[in-house]
Amino acid sequence: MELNREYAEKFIGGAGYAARVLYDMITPNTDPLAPENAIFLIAGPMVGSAFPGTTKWTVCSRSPLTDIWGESSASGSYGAELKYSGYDGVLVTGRSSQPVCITVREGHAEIKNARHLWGKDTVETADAIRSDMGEPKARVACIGPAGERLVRYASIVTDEERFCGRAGMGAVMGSKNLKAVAVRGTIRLPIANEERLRELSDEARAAVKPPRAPAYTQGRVRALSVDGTASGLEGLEKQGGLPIKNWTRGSFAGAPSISGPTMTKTILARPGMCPHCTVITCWRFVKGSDGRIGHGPEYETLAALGSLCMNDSLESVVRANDICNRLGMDTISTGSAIAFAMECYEKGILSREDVGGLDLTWGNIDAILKLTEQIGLRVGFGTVLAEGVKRAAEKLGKGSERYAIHVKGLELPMHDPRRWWTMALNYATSNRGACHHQGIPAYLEWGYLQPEFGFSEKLKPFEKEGMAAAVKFHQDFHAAFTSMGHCAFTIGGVIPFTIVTQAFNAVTGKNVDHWELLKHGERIWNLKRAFNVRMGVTEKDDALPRRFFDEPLNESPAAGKVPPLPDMLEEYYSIRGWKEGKPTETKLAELGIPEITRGI
Amino acid sequence: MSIPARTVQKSVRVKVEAFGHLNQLTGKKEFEVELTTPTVEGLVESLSNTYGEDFKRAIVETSSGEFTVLILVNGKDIDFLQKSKTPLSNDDKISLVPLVAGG
Repeated sequence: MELNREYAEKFIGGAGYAARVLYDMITPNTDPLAPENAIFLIAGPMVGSAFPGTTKWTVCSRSPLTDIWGESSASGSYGAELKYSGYDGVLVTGRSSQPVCITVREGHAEIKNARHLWGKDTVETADAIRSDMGEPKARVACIGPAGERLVRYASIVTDEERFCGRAGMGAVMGSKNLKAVAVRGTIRLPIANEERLRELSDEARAAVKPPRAPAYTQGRVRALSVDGTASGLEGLEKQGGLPIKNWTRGSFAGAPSISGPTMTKTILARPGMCPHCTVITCWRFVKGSDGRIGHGPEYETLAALGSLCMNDSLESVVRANDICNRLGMDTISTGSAIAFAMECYEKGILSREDVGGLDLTWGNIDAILKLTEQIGLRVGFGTVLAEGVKRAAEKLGKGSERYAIHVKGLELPMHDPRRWWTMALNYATSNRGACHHQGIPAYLEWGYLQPEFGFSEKLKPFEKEGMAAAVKFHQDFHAAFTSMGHCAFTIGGVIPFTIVTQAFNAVTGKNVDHWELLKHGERIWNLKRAFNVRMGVTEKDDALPRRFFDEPLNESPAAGKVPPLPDMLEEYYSIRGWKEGKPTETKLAELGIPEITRGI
Repeated sequence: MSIPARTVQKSVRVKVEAFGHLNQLTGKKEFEVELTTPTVEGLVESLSNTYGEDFKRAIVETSSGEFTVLILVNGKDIDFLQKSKTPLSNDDKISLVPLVAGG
């Protein structure tokens, strides 16, 4: 279809644009795994421009895990290659009667038979497709056996081992018998002012280094580059921010064993970075116990399959991560599902017989690896856990709901909301359920500041003052830059957004300031919320699991603290201009999207 | 003839834990340091003298003098104490924490 210029003007592109298109295509009656659901793979206007950090592409649909707005993004080369193939996005509806893949090459798209690929893992699939296309440089976004078997948190994997992990977008592809979307092209991206963009790219690189970079930027760039995203795992544990034993403990003696520095010292093969980044080498390639070099686990994975399950074996996390990546499923939800099962086992809700003879004692490496595989293949007890913790608890009953840690059906990412209160409010209100990619306002508690938007001071921990405003800002901010195609690591406290905005203007030919882009972000946030309201979300769903109020941590700096969520929510709705959790007609009109009021 | 009074600088002994890439520069994660200037600033100066310019660059932004990592004294963020002037006492535990996450 042709680009809808009105939508592009109002919603930037990427996930924002997709949200507006899907708002009209998906109704409350659309089963996420039915042919009627639509899935949109899309890259924003900055992707492919070579400005540092502009590699994020996004997949959007109605989530089969949460039944609400689903969205997941990844970095790497895929988004740029999609643009060079001649398209901004690929929108798929319906269902093929047999396995197929889509190839997009130099402006031409084809649907091809993929029966021979069905059952292959994500690495084999990408290799086979490149070979079939005769295009060694083709980029492939594919599902593995988990997506084929409709695991509700199946991921979409690209051949550089970057992942659209969250919210089950891989299951939506699987439901359509769509194994992969491969892209290849050399079509030049139109840039309004190439010379200016080059100048701004240089300026961005200079702004993140001494002497121009502020202290917090230098610290962040250095830590991420030296030891990757798990650089701070031990520090987070010391702060009480690392989730442990299914969110019941504030300290874990095994934290050093699964930290980024340990990974660097023991198994790191090489670091890596996205094309044109040159800012942060956040990727880790590690050597597994079989000698094969693959994508190393990120912080979220090390926590989910490590401390959350009381597992201090780095080698086992690397193996479980590899299983998730090859079968194609989200490591956060997988680790959360296993931790849930382990707690149910400890509490006597599950017996050894119930789980096929596995010993689900905390930290049992063998059980973690077996369950990971069972989930991806939907066999044994994995069949229950493949549904996500919310549905698994509904099936198991016996009070297991208490141990199912999720918001709106999405398992929590690895930042304890009792320690970082901004994350409590963010998890409760995020549009895809508990999320650290649609705003990570903990940055403002950690001191990763955004002075260009007035956030020049670190938020004081355990004090609600200013937190609702910080959460709203971060959500709108993320909605804007994700839709543009930027990654969070190069923006949150790193490249000043004033420079990013000028780069956006150089690419698109527009003349906006950073406040205007933030307003676009607010519009996108409200649109997605309206989507969710249509799907049945109410203010009652803006909640956290009881555990975070009834069971304060008894160790760590967060001991005894619980987030004052009701107070923060009240302030948040007021700042958002929402009534009873819904965007008001006045707010939607102010944002220039009065048509969105229908159905909510 | 009177004997001039000697100025006695009282030193304190503190415990330091260095996380992430910082302990690659110190060679150890936990150690003790004797300080004659018992403040966070004094500690950073002392550590920089011991572990060199690389360590200093990893922890201090040179033009502003601000710290690039989170510094905790007995678990409390110095940004909410007296920042670099935060006083230190015997047996205080100072944590140097690069704070990142994600993925």
